Amino acid sequence: MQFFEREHLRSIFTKPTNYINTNRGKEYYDNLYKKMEKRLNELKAQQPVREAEIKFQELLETWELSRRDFLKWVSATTAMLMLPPQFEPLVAQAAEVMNRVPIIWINIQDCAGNTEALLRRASPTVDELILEYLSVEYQEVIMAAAGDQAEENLHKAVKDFDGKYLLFVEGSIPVGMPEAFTIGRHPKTGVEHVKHLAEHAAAVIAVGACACFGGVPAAHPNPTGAVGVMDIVKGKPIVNIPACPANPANITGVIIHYILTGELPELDSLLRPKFAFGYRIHDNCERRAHFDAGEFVEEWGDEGAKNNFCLYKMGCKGPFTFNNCSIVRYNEGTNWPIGVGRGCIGCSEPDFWDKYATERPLADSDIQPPGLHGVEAAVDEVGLGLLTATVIGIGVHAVASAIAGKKDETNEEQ
Amino acid sequence: MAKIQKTVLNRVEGEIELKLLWENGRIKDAFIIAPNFRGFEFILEGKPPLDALVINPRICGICGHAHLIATVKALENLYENAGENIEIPEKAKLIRDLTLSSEIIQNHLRWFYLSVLPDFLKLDKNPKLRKYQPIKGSQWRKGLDYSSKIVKVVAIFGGQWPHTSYAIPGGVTSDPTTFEVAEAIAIVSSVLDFYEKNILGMPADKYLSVKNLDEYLENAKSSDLKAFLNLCLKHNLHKVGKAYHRFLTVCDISPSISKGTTKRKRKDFDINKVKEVDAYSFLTEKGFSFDKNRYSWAKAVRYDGLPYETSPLARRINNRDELFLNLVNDFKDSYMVRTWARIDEVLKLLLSMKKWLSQIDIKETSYIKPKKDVKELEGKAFGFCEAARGSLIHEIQVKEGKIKKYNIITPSTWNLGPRCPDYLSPAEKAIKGLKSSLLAEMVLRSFDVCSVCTTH
Ligand code: SF4
Ligand code: SF4
Repeated sequence: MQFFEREHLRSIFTKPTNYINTNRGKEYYDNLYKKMEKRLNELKAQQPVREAEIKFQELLETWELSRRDFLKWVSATTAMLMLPPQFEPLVAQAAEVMNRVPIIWINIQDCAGNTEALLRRASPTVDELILEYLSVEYQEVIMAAAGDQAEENLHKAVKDFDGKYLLFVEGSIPVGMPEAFTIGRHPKTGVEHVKHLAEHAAAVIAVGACACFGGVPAAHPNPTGAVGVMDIVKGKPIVNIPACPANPANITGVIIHYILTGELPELDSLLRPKFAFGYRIHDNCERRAHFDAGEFVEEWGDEGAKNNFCLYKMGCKGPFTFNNCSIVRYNEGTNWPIGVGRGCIGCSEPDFWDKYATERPLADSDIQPPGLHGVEAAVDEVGLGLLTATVIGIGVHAVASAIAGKKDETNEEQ
Repeated sequence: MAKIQKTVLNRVEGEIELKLLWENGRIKDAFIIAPNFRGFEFILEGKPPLDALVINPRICGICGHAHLIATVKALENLYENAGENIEIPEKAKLIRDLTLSSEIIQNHLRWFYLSVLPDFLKLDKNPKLRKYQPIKGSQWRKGLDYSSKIVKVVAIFGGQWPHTSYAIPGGVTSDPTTFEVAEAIAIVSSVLDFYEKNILGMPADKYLSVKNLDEYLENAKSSDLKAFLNLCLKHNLHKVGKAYHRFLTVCDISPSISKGTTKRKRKDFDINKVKEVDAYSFLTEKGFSFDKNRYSWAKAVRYDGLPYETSPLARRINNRDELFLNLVNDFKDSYMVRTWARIDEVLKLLLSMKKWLSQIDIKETSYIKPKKDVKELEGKAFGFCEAARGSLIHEIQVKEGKIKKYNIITPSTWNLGPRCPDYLSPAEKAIKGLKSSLLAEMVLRSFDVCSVCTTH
């Protein structure tokens, strides 16, 4: 393969990575609509998980949120799930029957960062949508119970909702050193804990880089033999929602999708939902125009930095990272790392602590070009792990001009 | 002889477990167990020094930003120790203090409403307390809401919360606009307003002149702090939970936090007096050991051979705040005083934030390039930072462009670590002698438990 050829670079940076086909034709959406309507009607006929039904409308009022705030959220979520606008009423209804799906959330080798990110989400706050309306049966950070009572609650939830609950796991699992996580009156290792709860769950959702791919604990030399959920749980549907922390919007997205369809969203080969991880940071980056123009920050604090130029040369891994934070951002859309000139560290990709995480420009990093596998395979496997020093040196302007062709292509697609 | 009974409270908060030995209905001994270990210090070894800036914030999902600041300061100290003067623009200093303070405030608010107040529902059947009920209670929600609001300030200057990595040796990468500064001012003002109305029950300036408990209770309108203090008095929480009455603070955040150590008198902090003891830790000098008497992944840490408490209370004492000197005089380092100090600190930091925001000169640069590449430096260095729960110390050793050794001593290592051969940890000492496990849990929580920080 002629790696440095203009055509080749062009193909790398113009490859449509959006694997969700956003227009699948009227027939497809009509069928999907019917299917979702049916599922929602089934859920509506069911009892809420908790005895007392809380009315969604009342909830909006007690949280001092207007119907308009809620509808805004509905549009955003519908778009995020890549459904056409006519699905908005269904998404609104899905939010209203969220309390039919029980949730158990456990923390293993974690830092609680994903829980914290989720707690810090609003509009309308997932605090009300998730915490109150959604039936969280067990969550170590927010539950009041401790000690034996906590353990009992968990047992009871597993028994009462056998085969029905969604299991959320935060943190990696130390298979190499069981002592690194052993807890409870009847001490259970992390592996036993996760396996047991997964066995009785409807599906398992790994939240954050640690639960998905081992995260920081699994970085070299991986002192505790940390792995992700998919390395130990077999025979159950699994969704990975990586990033550090996972974006709360994506967590809600997966839940809403499950409520709408009774199924998990379409996943890529790393089990990430395509609606969130189907495209690269770079595809929607606010600094992209500067990349295209070949305008880069060359050094922290330089003129380029003051003018928000592209951070590629400062080690931004946006072109190799599949995630939607360039659109969704963090803390209710307040900002994201590229917004403060720091660059993307690739936190939704496996092994990124050893491979991508640093501010080392690719020139100094260990990232290997995909070589024989070809770019396309690599895109899906490791999130486009490529480009070497020389490419950057020679390639930047070539790439820049190649990119210029991209906009036309996208237009065509739409 | 009375029979000794053993109980284990698992998941007192997060992953922390408590093993209690009972005799005659009293707690005779308490062991704080931190069972979750990830091994950050091993992971950092051999990596390029700048990698620590992205890895370390992930030590904790609640105070990760403090770990970033400690890391960047350790790297800057590496320059200084190598004789390279490092200059940090005033603007960058202000931004670092602003974001750090936001993180501390979010933590205190979250902790007060999510951890402290709900405990009283178990202790007291007064229906008025329902507003503090987890998830459903109106004040619980407000507390969470405002703690989410203040972290937006971190997001504005740092990109996201939790887990920011925007500070670098020589400054910060962000270059805020006037609009962003104004946004931050609006957030701080709204949190201050909430704080005065809901927590203090009086205007900030009036509160600042309060000298003791009675004076506060007389003058405050009904508020969550007032309700809390009255509950403490009713249930004797001003008499329990005393630790060693020794306080340590490693770093200044001017004007309300000053470094120092207080035993009987206040002295300067000297890093050479800090020693870790691994007699009861699974993690040892030589590697891992699961011998029978070892019970926590945390190590003990001692200053001049003695256990010290590091916390907002320690900061109030080392800062010589009159109110808290009086409170400690009247009630010692009890549950009530320790908790109040955290709530008090929110105000001091909010007021400072307002001032700092007005001082930011957006025309100034955010970063001054150090004269040397960090890879050319070798040696040993320290980064000190005050985090939500107390003092944080990072120690880095660099050789041939790689991290040779990295050591992290968190506030929770000081407070919630295991014992050493001579002394219990401050929280173990504070729990000893109590009469119920609920009280044991509450006293433990007054140190603001963070299991992941304890072990890292
Ligand atoms: S993925 Fe990140 S946020 Fe999540 S547990 Fe790991 S370090 Fe914490
Ligand atoms: S800052 Fe990063 S993601 Fe954005 S355009 Fe540049 S390289 Fe791409």
